[in-house]
Amino acid sequence: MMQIQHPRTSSLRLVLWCSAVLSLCRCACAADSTGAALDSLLSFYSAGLSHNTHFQASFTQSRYLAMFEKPLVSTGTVSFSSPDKIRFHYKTPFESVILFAGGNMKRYRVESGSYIEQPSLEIVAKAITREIVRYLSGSFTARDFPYSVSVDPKDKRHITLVPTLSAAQAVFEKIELRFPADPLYIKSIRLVEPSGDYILIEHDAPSFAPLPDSLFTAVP
Amino acid sequence: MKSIVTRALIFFLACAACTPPPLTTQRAATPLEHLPLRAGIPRELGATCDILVHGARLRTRARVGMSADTVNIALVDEFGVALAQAATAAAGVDIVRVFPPASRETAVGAALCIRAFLLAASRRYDRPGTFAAPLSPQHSLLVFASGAAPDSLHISIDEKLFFAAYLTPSAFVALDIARDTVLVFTPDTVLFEYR
Repeated sequence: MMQIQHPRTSSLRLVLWCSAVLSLCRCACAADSTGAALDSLLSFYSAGLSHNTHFQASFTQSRYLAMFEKPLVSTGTVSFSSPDKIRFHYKTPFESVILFAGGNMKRYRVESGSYIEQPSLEIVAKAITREIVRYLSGSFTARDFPYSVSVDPKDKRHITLVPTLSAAQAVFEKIELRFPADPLYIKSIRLVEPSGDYILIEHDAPSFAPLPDSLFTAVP
Repeated sequence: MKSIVTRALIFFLACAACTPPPLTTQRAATPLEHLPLRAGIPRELGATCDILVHGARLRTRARVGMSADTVNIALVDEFGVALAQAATAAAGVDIVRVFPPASRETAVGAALCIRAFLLAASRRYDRPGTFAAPLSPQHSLLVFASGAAPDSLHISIDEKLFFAAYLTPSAFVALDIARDTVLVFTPDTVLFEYR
């Protein structure tokens, strides 16, 4: 259904958008190799992401493995509620739901409309979920953020995180995040393993409307 | 009602597939390589693959790639975590990687079954019969075909039945008699056409 925006709302959005772009440009212009410029850019992304307490988008996840020519692709919808609730609803190649709330995680496969609980997730999947929650909530400037961060000098909307903890280094060599200009959200996450294999998650059609709590704790 | 009929059919097929082939049958089987190769088998295909983990069925995404003499297999969970990666050839199964909750045993079983399935699918059944092929130094494959496609497969280890499997137009189900259903492999490409 088409939504008609009030002219004042449109103007406000335009002002906010211009302000965001100007802020980004300021950060980008100032972003030499100094830590202050990097901190400023990260603060900008962090503030932009944490401003939206809810986030929902469709996603395409592609798993690239060196032993195959084509990736394994799955699609679905991700829903996020700040600070730590997330729901993945996979639609293809088969329907399944993963709920993560308060540190607890449950996985279901959906067959003929019935939700069948699956064996508990392994450590790596839990770790990936925790990290995705961390990025979506925009906690790049937290003191305990366990990554060294760098920004692509040619593209300020592309940041690279390199794990600083040895346990994480064993799983991921680096994580790359991309941000579009407006609205500000994480467009893609690329999790690169030490072997060079990687997982690419791309978000589309973002929405920031409030989401009910029940979405993250229960299945029908 | 349909569900009961379907379950009964599956039970019947499972029983049929689980009936151990007599050793004389194995020895009298025609080598699978005597059948002509089929054209049009894709080099790489995707699938869903249910495996048994700690007694519970776990649904995974699967990718299978074939080269001249090797079949590469990956079972990947929703997050993209590669639970099992293996390369199988006549020399045996080489486990590239296993992550919990999958185990080495799961990976070997799945790799053997999927390679058996692809070996059987790679031939054109121009006559009914029983056909045999080596799967690994320890395992061999026996294919029963009554028409233009195989009806059931048996994998034996040192001439004792190890796995049995039956085929439907859309899925390949491998059974481990000692435990439970081990693997339901549903390729996104139809490999068998039943008339």
